Amino acid sequence: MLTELFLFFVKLMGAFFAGAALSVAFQIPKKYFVSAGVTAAIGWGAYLITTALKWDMIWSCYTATLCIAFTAQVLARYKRVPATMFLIPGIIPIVPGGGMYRIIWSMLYETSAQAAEHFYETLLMAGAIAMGIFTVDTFFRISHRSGK
Amino acid sequence: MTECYQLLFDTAILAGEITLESGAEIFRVEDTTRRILRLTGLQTVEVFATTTGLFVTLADPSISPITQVRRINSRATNLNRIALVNEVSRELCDKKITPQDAIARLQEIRRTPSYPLWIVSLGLLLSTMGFAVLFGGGIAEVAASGICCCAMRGAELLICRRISSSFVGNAIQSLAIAFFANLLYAFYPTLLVDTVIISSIMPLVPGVPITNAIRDTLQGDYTAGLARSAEAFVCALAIAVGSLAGTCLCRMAVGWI
Repeated sequence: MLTELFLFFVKLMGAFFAGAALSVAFQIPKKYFVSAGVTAAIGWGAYLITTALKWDMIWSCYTATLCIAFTAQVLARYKRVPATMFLIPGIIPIVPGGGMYRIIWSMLYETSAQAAEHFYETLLMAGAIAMGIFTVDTFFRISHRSGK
Repeated sequence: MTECYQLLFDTAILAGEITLESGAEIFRVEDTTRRILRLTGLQTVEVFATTTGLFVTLADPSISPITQVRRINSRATNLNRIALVNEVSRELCDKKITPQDAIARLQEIRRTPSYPLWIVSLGLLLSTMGFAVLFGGGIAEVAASGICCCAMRGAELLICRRISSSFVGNAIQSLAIAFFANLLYAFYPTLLVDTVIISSIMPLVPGVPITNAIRDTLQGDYTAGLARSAEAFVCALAIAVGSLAGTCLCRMAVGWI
């Protein structure tokens, strides 16, 4: 249990560094690196926890995206910058790069039925990310309107 | 009075141009431009933006209408510029700065340099290593991802700079990654080669186009949404083709030795 917890935190650190370091490629100012990394770590944490709870891949993805988009929106309002600033580095770890690789891998070494399955799964994951961003965007737009 | 309109018009179109070039969502570009134009208080304000162009019209019974079209040729994600333009437009709309100040600051933003190449490379290197940790890799995987990232940057700087096609560029970069990952695997068979390849291709994966495509489409900007989806799809295809070719090439090379 303790080892698992330790590994969990190591992975969170990995997500933090990945998000913060990748911010350079998106030309994010230095003062927002930490926030970008925190967004990525929160998202990946949610993904790891929901996966450990044996949730369906699609639901884990959706929940993680909800957490990322929510954190990004809150941070954006607090720091008065566009939400994209934190949304993009936060979302990158969730984007199904692994799924894309597995499609290719199964094309090479497995049957085409398995490749099709991976393709379908990757597509669904992208859809789940889309729904997550959409949900939070809509929520914030409604609360923004009613707040005025 | 006309000069005042003209100045605000120039400010607005410059703001729109910078945000579009920096890869902002279409609704943000249109919103920023429209807000600045509304300051003129004129009757008709029309802004139409797509991924590759910007059209702005300002008209009123009292003046002869002004229209300008801007073609956007190059796009690179630069979230810093988007945030800065946003700040200028907010201050202008709150009447904290004059249009003269605003246009000077926008021109300044356009000239601000992006991060130098070596910092970007270092960031990519650190992030691939971070991804290797995040995907459950050990020390060997982290080191191997670092090597693959160096190979990717090498391919980018030596070859891809000379090719304008982003498809070929992405394909060559992922080819380099897959080739080196498999090569390392041949010498070190306990390496988790999947983890290494996945974490190294993460910086190439079309995260920005996917995110923007979703937000544009759901905002009702279908033209931009479709364009971005196509961009994301082409990018994914390039990565797939590249890593497939890299793996095959490496297997062939190793078999031949």
